[in-house]
Amino acid sequence: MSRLRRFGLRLVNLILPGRAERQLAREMDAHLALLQDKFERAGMTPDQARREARRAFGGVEQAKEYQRDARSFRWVEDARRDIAYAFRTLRRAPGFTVVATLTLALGVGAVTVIYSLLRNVLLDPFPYKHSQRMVDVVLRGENGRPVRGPYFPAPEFLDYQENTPAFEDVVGTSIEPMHYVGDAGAERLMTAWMTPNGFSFLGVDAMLGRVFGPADTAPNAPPVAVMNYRTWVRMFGADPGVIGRTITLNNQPWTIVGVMPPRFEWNIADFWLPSAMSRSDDVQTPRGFRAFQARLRPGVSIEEAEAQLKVVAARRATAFPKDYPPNSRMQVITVIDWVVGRFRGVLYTLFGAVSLLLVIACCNVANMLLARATVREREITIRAALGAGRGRIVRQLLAESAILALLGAIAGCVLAYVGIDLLAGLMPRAGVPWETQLRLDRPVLYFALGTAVLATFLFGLFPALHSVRRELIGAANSGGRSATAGPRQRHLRSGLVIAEVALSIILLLGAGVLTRSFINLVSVNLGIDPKNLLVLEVAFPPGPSSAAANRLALYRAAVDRFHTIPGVESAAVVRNVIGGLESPAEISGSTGPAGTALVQFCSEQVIETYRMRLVSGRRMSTLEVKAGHKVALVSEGLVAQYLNGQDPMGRTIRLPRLATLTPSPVEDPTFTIVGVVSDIRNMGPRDVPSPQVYVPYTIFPTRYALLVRTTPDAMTLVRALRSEILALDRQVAIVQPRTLETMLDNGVYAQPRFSLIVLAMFASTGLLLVALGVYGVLAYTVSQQTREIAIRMALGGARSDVLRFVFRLGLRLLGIGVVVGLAAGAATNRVLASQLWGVSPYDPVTLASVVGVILAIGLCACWVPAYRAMRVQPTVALRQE
Amino acid sequence: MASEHPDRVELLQGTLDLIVLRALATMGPQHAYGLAARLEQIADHPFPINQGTLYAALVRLEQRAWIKGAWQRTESSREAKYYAITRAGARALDRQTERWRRLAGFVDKLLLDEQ
Repeated sequence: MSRLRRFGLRLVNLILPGRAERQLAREMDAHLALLQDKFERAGMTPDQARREARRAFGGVEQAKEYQRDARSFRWVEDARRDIAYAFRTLRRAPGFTVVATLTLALGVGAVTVIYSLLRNVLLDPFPYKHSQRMVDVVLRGENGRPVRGPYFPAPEFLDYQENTPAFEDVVGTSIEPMHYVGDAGAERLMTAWMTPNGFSFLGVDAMLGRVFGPADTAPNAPPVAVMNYRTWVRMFGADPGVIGRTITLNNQPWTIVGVMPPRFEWNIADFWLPSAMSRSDDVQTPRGFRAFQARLRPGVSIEEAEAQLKVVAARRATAFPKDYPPNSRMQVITVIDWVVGRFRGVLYTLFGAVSLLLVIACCNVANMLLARATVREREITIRAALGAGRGRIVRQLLAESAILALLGAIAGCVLAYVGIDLLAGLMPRAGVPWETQLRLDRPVLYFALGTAVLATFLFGLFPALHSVRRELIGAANSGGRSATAGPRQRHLRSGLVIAEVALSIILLLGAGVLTRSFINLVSVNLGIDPKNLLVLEVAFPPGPSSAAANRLALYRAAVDRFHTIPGVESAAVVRNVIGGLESPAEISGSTGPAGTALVQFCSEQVIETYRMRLVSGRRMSTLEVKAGHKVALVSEGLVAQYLNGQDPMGRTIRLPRLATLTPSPVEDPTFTIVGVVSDIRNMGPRDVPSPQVYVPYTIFPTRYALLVRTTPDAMTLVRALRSEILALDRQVAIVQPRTLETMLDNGVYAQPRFSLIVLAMFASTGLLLVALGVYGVLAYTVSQQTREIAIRMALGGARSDVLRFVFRLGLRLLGIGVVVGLAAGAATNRVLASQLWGVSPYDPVTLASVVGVILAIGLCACWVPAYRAMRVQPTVALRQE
Repeated sequence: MASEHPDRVELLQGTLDLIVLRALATMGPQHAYGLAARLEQIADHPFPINQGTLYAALVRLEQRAWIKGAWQRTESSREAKYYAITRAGARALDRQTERWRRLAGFVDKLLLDEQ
């Protein structure tokens, strides 16, 4: 009971110490007065008595401290005072505080953002149940390229499903574009056929209404559909009354029974339709040809699953040997790996880079604190003399570091929130699952705060212990101004700067080679001008108007009409945007090797629309294309490869693959070569172009795309083009008008650009920190050596000598750092090799420029301290003794 | 307990509290000066008590309500804070004294046995 009372009173004294303090003063004054009386009675004068009383009493302040200790909670009071004092000191040195906070914030914020990225893309991108165990199945050939899969025809699919107990559950999905006619006109929507267990496989329930199940695929069950959240918002304005409504897709009615929650993007479909699989499904239709995705049983490894599939494949291979090329193998790969693929390497690289940045940041802050601790030597020794214990002083310095760390952590969190939004804008679509949501989540925040705390102890404790360990008396006695740091501390600080320089070099080297690689990639001559080249697809409704002849007529009419629109330079009909169908190519009278070529079905305007060059011969004429004559253009590459440069004009080229096309094979696919055009990068910007042939599209009725070359910004003409097409046929849907530039950007450039930008940001931040670090160490060294410099100048030394002295110091630091950094950087750059193109990881140009940049920045940082040293007035400096 | 200063004895918190309680019980209400003087008297050697520890002991005892302080006038009409033992304090004194005796006896026996 009495204990409790004491606790309560101590608490009161902690919060309101005023009264107790006054009482204590009063009591001690009374005590001293009584002592004084005693001495006066013994015969001393009042003054003598007072002095004697004080002496007999002992240390008044000390006694008061004991009482204060007992009456409240000492450590809390101390902590509170330490914190208040720490705030004051930090406020008095705003430059230091701001720089240190920013440095920490940068480090912590950057790590948080990148770690969030890693977590959201690699570790937890899908909202599906047990997504770590979700796998795709692929048949890989000898060279590692996929032969078949993850899409398989129904009989093969079911064979795998039924004979692999390693899979807990299997879902078969395939997408089919469907025609929808709404109020705003015709649209093409993506639907996904899914086996009825699909939603339970994924473990996600509908947000509105219900999902479909096995009952919906029973015979005579009404056709139902489940809708995507985005589609619901876009088409129905998020109206909950949509449940139960009918939607007509491809002229078939479907009842909408449910809407999925946001972030559910299985196959990125607008609608999911149930369809069970059977061996009698027509494998030429999407429903009979589905992607095989499964969930492994808990505890079952990928190797086990692959072994089981191997058995099934071997059995099938005896019945269908052509389906399984020699040395092919069944591969099971997690869905995450399949989607993220090479981007994983990029993410790990970025994580490594950001960790380096964090280390640099910590080094810088440690350095700054070390410097400050030394400068505050005098203050510390005075406090020690006043009776502060060593532990107390250490605690006070620690409080400062803790506050700094806290400020840095808070600023870091703010930076992280801003940064993740910025990053989300930069993120490439390819390699990142659609379901990924980029956000800061709690564990990452804790990680960031943990980093800050760790940093506190790392750089807070060290200087604290360091400053206290020296001879406090000695330091207080020696010359009035700043005490000198021992050689150990100087070495430590220099060491830190050297480490920073080295780490910065590593970052810069990485950023440098990535930059060169990216520039190489972007400056590749594609053979086509991708700017303002619009790609349009036309989707026909099922029914008579989609008959082959009608389609071809529409394409021709559309292209003709496009040419009348102002702003359209030219337009053409093409089968593939770039590239073509692979077919063996037999050229008459050729002595060179036989091989394959890519066949592009197109109209006669293809040359000017692509902005290719006509190298020799002539283009196809309008008449030839309209009539479907068998003429062809070939690429320069084809001539070089198969004809050894001989004149191809007048020869014929036979493309046997065309005779096997469905539904209408081309009879006698032999064409007369009438012209040669320049190469285009039909295998992508990185790879050597494949030989190419251009033939009239009219010989093969199928779906085509329209290419439109415009002079002003292509997207502004979309509406005009659209209305021309609709004028021809009200019922068609225009699909995805987009420019080739955008397609390339998203598909090819976005990923390398992303890693480049982020790495460049890290590298430049690192550079800034290095500049600060070098400046700090040199400024400090100069201030320490002011006396020596002054003496030297007084004795007749030239100012230029001083300049040289400082720069030499700086160069030494930089030099060692550069050497260490280059060695380490060479090793780390090797890790980047897979992301590079056209540049070696040890590229000498990059090496040289990086060293140059660091030296330049470092020497600039030397400039101010050097200049200051130069301007030291010997008389003034020496007089301060 | 080895002490750094030969003529200063660092007392355990608990023992000084006990001594002060006892002193107040026998002497009646006292102020800090009186207590200090009395403690110096009792000891065989000059026994300069660290004033701080005495004040700390007083505050501890007062917070536990084992003693109660009141400002009064001394004979020389100086003001001083007098501390008096309370009833709870007297009870605590008995308990602590008993405990102390037992501990002392125990330590004694240990030391004797070792010889």
